[in-house]
Amino acid sequence: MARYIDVGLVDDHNEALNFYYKLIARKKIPFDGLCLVHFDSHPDLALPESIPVSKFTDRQELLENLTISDWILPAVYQQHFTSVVWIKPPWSSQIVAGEYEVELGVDDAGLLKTSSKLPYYLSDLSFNDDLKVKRKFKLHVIEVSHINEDISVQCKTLRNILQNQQWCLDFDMDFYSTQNPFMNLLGQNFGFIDSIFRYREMEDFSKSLQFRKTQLDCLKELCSSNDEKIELRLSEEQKEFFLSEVKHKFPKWKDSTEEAKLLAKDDKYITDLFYIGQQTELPHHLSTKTEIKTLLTNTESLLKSLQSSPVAITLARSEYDEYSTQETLDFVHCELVCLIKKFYSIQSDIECPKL
Amino acid sequence: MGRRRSKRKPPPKKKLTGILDTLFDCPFCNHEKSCDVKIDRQNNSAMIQCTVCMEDYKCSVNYLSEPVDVYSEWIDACEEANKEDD
Repeated sequence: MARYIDVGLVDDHNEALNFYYKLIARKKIPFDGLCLVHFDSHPDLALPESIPVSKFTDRQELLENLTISDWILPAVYQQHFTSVVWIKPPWSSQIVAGEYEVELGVDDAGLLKTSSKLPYYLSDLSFNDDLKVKRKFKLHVIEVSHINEDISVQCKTLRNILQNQQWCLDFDMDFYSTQNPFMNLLGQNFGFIDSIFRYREMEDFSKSLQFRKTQLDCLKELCSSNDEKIELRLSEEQKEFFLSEVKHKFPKWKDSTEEAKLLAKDDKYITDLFYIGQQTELPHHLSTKTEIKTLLTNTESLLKSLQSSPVAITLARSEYDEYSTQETLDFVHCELVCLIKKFYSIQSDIECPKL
Repeated sequence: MGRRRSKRKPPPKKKLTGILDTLFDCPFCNHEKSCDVKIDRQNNSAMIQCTVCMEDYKCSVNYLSEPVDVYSEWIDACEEANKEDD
């Protein structure tokens, strides 16, 4: 008799890891060597900043410290997942489609870092080439279209990756339609904020990295202070960036958005303005119903082309973080549940919204 | 470069679960909370034993295992054995 597949439905995507860890603890799925097939508008492959690698074996502490952006790599470092396939829609440009070997390791502070020179990691200042206890994993990025296009190449690629491989199937429903929840907060200042916060790729990656550090340090300093003598406190490099790109427009930004005004009354003004500023590069594409249906058809084609079933499935709604709208989510949620039931024997019925 | 952050402010730190159960009902003598789990983390092994009827079960564990996982495995093993008997 075919084995039933456990399905986990979560809201915040990082809760999916708790589901996988429970299945590993109960020996319902293998302890290691799994491939994670991750449908999402976001890679979720950032490195956790608030928990050292030495705590990765403390399940409760780890899960409490992970966020929606960094829940996958701790499980990769622990070798539960030894490869990751990020299946992305065309509007997601965080990592270009292709195959990458990514090295992870521990830095002097005990945090997880990478020697990968992907802009996704350089822009986040997660790069470090002096690492200890290094481990590598394969990252495959496959792009699937939202218009009627032949996806036989993508089907073949995924089939080859998953040959003789046990795998987990993971969906973030914002794969089908996503919004940048920070965009509205910036309003008319979005363009300016985007221009000063955006990561700049240069030919020499070490220059990109140095510039990024200067840029973020300077912006952090600016966001944290209303002091007019701020120029005096900036380093020479920061001053150059400040004078050429920020000076005249920055005070206007701090005063002109409603959100900024509200935040100014708050003690956390500093972190929040800096935090919001870094969110301009998130994908934003509110799909039409036709586009969603095409993506669902393409998802079906991908799953149909595979010769094996996943060992576990997770579905994340991402509703409360506003990465998608409720109406879209409810539609996608029901369609995905139908799709999963069509292809796989699942352990229990999955909760579905009433449309 | 598009590191997706939560828009919500992080809630105050809270434990994901309450105190996890370590005592369980016995599947043999049906006594409540009579089965105690001992996990040997160094040797990746565990034993559960009923303090009333002394039935026991041993299994391997990993760093993610909790007492409830050991108990569940025992129950699964009992169900499997019952199926074979049928």
